[in-house]
Amino acid sequence: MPVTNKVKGIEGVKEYLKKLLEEGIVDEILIPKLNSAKDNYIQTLVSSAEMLDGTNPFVPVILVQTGRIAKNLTFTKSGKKLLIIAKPCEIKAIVELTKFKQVNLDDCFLMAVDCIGTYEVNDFQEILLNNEDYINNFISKYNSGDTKSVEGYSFRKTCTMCDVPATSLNLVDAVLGYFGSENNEVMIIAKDDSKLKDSIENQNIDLSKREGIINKIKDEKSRQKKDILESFRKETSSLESLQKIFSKCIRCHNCMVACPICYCKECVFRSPTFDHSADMITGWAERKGALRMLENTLMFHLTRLNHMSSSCIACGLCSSACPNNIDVSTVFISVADNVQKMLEYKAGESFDEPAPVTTFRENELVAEAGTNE
Amino acid sequence: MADEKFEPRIIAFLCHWCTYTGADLAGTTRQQYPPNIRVVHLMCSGGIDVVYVLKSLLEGADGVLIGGCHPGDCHYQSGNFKARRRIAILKNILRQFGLEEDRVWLRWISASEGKMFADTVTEFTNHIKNKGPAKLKLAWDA
Repeated sequence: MPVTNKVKGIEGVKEYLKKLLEEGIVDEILIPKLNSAKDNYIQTLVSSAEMLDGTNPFVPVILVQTGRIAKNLTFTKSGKKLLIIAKPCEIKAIVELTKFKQVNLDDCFLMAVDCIGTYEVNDFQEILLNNEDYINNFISKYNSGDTKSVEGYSFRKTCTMCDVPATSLNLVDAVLGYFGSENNEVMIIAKDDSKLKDSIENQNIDLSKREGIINKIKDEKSRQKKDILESFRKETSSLESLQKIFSKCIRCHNCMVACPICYCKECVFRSPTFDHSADMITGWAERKGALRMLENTLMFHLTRLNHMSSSCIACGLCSSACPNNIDVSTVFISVADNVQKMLEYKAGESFDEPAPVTTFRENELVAEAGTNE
Repeated sequence: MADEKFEPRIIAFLCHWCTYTGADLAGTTRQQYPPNIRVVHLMCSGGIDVVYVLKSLLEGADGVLIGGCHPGDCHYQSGNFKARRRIAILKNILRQFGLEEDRVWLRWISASEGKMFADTVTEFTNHIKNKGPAKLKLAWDA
């Protein structure tokens, strides 16, 4: 039976987090905090209880994928006990990165928040500056399963098809949940063998209403995902459509930089392998008659699809990061959906299931690879 | 019927311990097979990265043939298992964008199977001849 406690709103959550810091259960907390310009929330490493003022783990925006931050914070030892608070897709990234040995959760606590969706960074900034009420009343607006965005703005496309509004208790030490709560209450929920269970005063709250609401949101978003992917796949099953999708690509690699799964310190496309001599490039142009520059643009995306789609956790930061608004995320999610189905794997859902690129089975994929055995 | 004058260009990535040696055996036993393949000699089929296959298709290859040891017989234990996964993923992705994934063949051919090598190359060359020239190799906006 999970351990459950109810606190009043963001202030209640902050009191709980302050207690964790003051009692030395954790040394530092990674949590979204209002920035110094007061125009956005950025993930901040907070080491003193007073600095928890202005923090809000539920803000509907992701500036940096927490998976990327978790790498920097845990790849080497800091000697500090860290608490990382993150949204469900960010927890999925941390799960995948742990399996790739890029994140080490040994001295780390993980807390997931419920997430109905996030806005693009610039949209969120406008909402924050012009509609503070919406942010302040966020929990009471969405805790009964409403999925509509604020007037005048849409949630990010990837969020509208996200079927993980809440993280499973199996993956984290605690969940800060608002689905199924009353007014602006937040539920702190942990498994009864969680490392944080002793810090949570158990009130034995009935979680069935919460589960009902989460399932309802999952159903709605799964249907959205199915519709979006179906229509995308109908329009993009040819070379021409692939060329159209990436027609504006300028090879800035921001999609790759933003992606938590692309963790290579040196991408092969920035390595000497793809640092072609001029005569190679002019040779290609001569054979074909013309050559789009920068060379290897489709190669970059096709290769990135091959290398990381089996672990894509559908956070959509790639689309948000693209300076030319290419909908990279839908391409990658569509491919990842098919590839992960073929490999019978769901990225980000288990610490025990090895990532597909790190393993194999002796008898598998004969038909898919087209081999004789 | 495909253009009679179309001679496919096929790039073959062959693993040193099995398929390359099998190809050698085909040669020494005077097996006849079409001359359309250009061999890239690798130590192991597990050394294939997707970029090699993709680049070949984009820069003039009408077909790519990858040859490795039979599963369980890899000289490096598990290289061919990894190759099988990678090619399965590659073909899945090529199919999703209509990029003719049947222009990429992965075959297990051992060092003693000289005739099978010749037969496979013949089969693949005819398959590509029937399909005609690849579209992808003409893609200048790529």
